[in-house]
Amino acid sequence: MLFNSLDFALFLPIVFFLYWFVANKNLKMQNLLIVVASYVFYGWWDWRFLSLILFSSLVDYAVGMGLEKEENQHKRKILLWVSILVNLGFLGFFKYFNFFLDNFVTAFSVFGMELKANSLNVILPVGISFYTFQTLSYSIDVYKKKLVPTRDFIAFSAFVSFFPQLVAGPIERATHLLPQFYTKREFDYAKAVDGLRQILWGLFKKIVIADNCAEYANLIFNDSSTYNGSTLVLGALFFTFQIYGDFSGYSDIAIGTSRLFGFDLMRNFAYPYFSRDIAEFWRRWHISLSTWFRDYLYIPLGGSKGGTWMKVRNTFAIFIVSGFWHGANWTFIVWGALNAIYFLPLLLTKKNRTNLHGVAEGRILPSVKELMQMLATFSLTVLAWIFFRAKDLTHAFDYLSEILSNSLFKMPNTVELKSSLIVIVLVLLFIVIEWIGRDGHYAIAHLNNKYNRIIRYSIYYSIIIAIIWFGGKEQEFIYFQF
Amino acid sequence: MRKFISNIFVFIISGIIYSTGIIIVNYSIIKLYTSPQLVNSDILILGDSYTKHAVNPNLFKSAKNYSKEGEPYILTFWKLKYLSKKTKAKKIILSLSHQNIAEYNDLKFSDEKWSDEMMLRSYSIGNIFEVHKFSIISYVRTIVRQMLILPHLKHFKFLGNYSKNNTSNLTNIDDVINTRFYYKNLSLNLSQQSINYLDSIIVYCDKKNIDLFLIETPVHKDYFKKIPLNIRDSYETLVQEKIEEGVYIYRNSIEYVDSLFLNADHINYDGSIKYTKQLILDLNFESKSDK
Repeated sequence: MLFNSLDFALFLPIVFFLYWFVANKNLKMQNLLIVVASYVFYGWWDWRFLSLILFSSLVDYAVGMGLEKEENQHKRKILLWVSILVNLGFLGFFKYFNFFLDNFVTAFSVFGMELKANSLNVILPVGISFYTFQTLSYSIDVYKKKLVPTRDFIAFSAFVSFFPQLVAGPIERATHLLPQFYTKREFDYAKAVDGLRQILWGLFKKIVIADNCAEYANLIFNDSSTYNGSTLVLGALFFTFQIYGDFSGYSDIAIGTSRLFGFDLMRNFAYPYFSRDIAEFWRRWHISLSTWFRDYLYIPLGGSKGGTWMKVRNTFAIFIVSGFWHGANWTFIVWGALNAIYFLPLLLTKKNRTNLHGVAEGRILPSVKELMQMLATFSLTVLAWIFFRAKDLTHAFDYLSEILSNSLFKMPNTVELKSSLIVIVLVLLFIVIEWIGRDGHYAIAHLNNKYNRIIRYSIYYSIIIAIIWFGGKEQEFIYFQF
Repeated sequence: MRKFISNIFVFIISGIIYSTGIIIVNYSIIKLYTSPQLVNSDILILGDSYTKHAVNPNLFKSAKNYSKEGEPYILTFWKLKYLSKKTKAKKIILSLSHQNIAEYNDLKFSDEKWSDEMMLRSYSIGNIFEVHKFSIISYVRTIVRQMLILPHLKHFKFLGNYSKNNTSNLTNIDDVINTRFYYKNLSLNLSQQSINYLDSIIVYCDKKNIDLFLIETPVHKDYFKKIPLNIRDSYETLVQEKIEEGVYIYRNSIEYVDSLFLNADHINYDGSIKYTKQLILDLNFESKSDK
């Protein structure tokens, strides 16, 4: 079920009503309702994959219980590995099997050996990368004794399958989300209104910004050999805003929906395109994944402690794994490696934690220096997105070489530019709104404090009108494929 | 919770009140306003891109071409009813060809490739529930966008015009055949809905004493050869039936050289001059020079 679909528009009020009016007296009932609703939500795509979530939930629940009872460190380690192997096994099979098989065959063919292997027609279950990481965090935290394992299987199932963030995050830590299922939720008016507002803003980002940018990004990327360099730059910019609007829009809807049910999810985006260096960008982009890799991969590997070689190794490891997490394609690996190359100079010169505060705090406009830093970081990000969006490495390099040719200085192809002018205006307006609202958790978070009801309602209706008026064709969220 | 529900209620009600006001204004515009595109003329040229490209109204003494590309007969029927109330035309020229009765016309209100455009052209003049299969999402989206949000004068998207284009490119024959007679690689049949609405147009013209001329416009011979045989046979049967019923059908008998074609199944500006002059002559219409 897509957040931007009529199905969800009916589903959400029904679940909300049942949650607060039927199951409100009993915490267990509320959690059970969440599990049922989440399974319906996920089963809407393909009910067969429900068995994966159920199995994953059962394994990690049992591992958690086992870890609680077991004191023998060796046995505890075995239990942890069971959880890791089951979760990463699912992920590896569904997501990476064909990739490894194809590359294995190619590698052998280099040495003149012809291997016969048939790729499997494996369907990638929606959101598998998200919920496997979430359940893994539970097992690891229980193993490290940071978390007391739950005995309540319904609460645990609700934590694994919680529908607002099941298919595209934010990837929650068990230490943060699971305890929320143990405590009685009371309806909080301010929280619910804020949730609705965040859902509205998320829908705007997805439907108005991302879907409209997608139309032109797809047009240009899918037929990139026919366009000049300046049009390809435009295509890369469209994709840059498509992926941001798409993914951060999804996160806003997920967080907003959770708030309607009394839950707080972690923030996933913090205006990443206003970052002044790549380190800041990675503190602001897909925060739940970045911090997951930081806590469960980077720090266990030694983090930034140790010698230069260790820093280089760990930085590349985290970025390449992060790239590979996005998909079984060399383009994602190069995208990750490129970001590691961007990041490394900052780490080695110890400037990776320079920009910890918000940009232009207390000021309306940034300084010239800040503006130049933001533009430079943004340009590097756009460059990296070309690899992310390209269908393979050859496509990415062809795309880049055309950008770096003389045709960069020609006018963009007029047909595309003319028809996309309205989208460019929308994106510019979006940037202005995000800039003005950059102190909030999302761009229109402060509306409640600043304006009276008539103005607020007018703004909400303007956003609704924009969603209806500029709404493109209903498109799936990009991150569902990851 | 009570405060939340009541505020949601107030928010929705204020939206409904606003939208109701806008609907009333837009409905009044549709009923009372006359688009500047509407010109009183003796002859109305209707149909799809075939008549849009082939029949040059400027060569007639008094004619206006309202053809619009991809228009199925159901939409032409609604358009005819609207135009017959708004103009005093007593002669209608309407395109008739193989693709007008092909099943792909039935998909135009349901397939997302066309449905938004068809809804946009039909919401102000037609009853969507007459269509066998349509996209509810597309319909709701169109109604909300066009009727509920802002008052505007652009409710007459169904009015087309003559297209003057003198280029020539015959490389798209297979693509056009695929679009018109195949869907997702499956061969399409006849559109019973289109045939029924052609009958409705004929009956309506008869009732209103309007002379109806169904015309075939030239298509390239290579294109013609690739039209599936079942469609060609059914088309011939239909044409013979209509002729026997007394409907006037102008059949194209002249072969056009390649340079007069815009593409596989449309003639270009030079072609339209030649075709329209012949049409005027054959059907005894008054030409501009007769004035």
